[in-house]
Amino acid sequence: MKNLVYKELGLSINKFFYILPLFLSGLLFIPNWIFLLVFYYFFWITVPQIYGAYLQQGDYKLLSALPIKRKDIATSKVLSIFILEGLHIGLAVIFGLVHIWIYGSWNFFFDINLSFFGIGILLFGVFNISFLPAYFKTAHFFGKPLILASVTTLIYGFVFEFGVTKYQFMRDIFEGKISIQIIVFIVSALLGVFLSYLALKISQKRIVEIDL
Amino acid sequence: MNSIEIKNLTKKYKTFTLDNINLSIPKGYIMGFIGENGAGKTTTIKTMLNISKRDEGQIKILGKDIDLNEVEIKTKIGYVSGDIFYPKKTIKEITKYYKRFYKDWDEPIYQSYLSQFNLDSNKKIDELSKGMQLKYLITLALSHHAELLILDEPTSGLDPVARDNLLELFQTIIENEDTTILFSTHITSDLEKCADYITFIKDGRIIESCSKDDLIDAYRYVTGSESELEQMKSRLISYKVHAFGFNGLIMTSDCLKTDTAKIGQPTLDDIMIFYSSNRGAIL
Repeated sequence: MKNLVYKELGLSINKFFYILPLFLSGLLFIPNWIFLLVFYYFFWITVPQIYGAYLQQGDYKLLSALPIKRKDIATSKVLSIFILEGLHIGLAVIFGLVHIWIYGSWNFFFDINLSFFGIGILLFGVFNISFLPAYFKTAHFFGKPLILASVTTLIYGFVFEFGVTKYQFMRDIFEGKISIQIIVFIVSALLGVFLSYLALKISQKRIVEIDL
Repeated sequence: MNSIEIKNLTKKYKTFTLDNINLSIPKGYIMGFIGENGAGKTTTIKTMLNISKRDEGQIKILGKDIDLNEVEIKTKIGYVSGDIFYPKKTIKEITKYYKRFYKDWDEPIYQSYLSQFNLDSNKKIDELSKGMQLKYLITLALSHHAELLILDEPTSGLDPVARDNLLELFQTIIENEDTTILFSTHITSDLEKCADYITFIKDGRIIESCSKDDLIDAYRYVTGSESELEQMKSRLISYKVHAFGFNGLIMTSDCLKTDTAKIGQPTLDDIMIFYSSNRGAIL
């Protein structure tokens, strides 16, 4: 498994995608913006590039010759995505803190606060559960799974961004007392991790059933 | 001991079925796997290696069940599909990641093959010719002391000199390493040089699987006049009519002493060509 993850991160995924989170997190310096969009660029730039490259580079041709378990192919690819997602969140936290330091936490749309990062982790969970199991139905075609995941995550993002601008009760929950924000963060982060774990398990099961 | 034992292997697609394949290769020999394009050679190999899922059948490789010991078996196999991977990466980069998967990776042997094949490890895969790419894939397969080499159409796309060099290499491997080779191809002349056994597949079914000499002895190539064709027509596997008469293929056991047509030894090409037309005339 370690060798497969090492291969994914070193050989299969272009180094640019480790730098991209840094640029994307820079978007958090925009005053008054829909900051959840920072994470969407990962779905719309990084993911199609990585999964397209698997096809173009003949990654499965290499994998089919190696002494590895089918299940581990899915695990290594999913874990690599989780690592990149973690990088996005980690850098967003740092840049978010700088944003608060410069501008304060008020934002017309969703504030950058503890709830924001919880909702962000859950956003990745929603993406993972929508995209990864659908992709591993074929382990080749990523277009339809990505459309499905984009629609799902856009609806998810709209609910929160629109909600906090329109409804006071949502502002109270997500942008109110820090104690409530902590609860929101813990619940949504746990849910995000659970959905990602579920995505991993379903992907592992699906790759065993298909022709590579 | 057999290096490969396949029993009743079946794989169904919408438009093609790999039907009840039975195949075995004794250890230390070269088996040629022949058949026209689309006959099922690659499907058999992929299904055998669990790259494609099979519907039915049992597969033992190096004495072990592929379902129970897939990883262990694959550490002892060199599989060369002819497809390249990571064309924009250098040989050095790919090997760096590839060798981590093999406990028995032998760096001195790897380096010796690189130098024997004149492979520059700083070159990108797509900067290599087709023949050099193949040599690199074979180098990877040989550098972890594979007991079984599975080569899917390794010589297609190579010039005659490169093909001849490769066939010599296979023979050297067999002599020095006690390796078994399964070698699929539609260029049957390659196998006449190096194969011990032949398996002939057509439309997803095995027609013959035996030693090369037995296969060639089992068939006869016939040429004769049109009147001689009339005498033999029902016994021929297929035949081709031309301006001077006909030529065709017959089972040796179907030859009669009374036959007056010229009867000789067929090549593997003859067997494949005449079988591909089913019974009757090739127009």
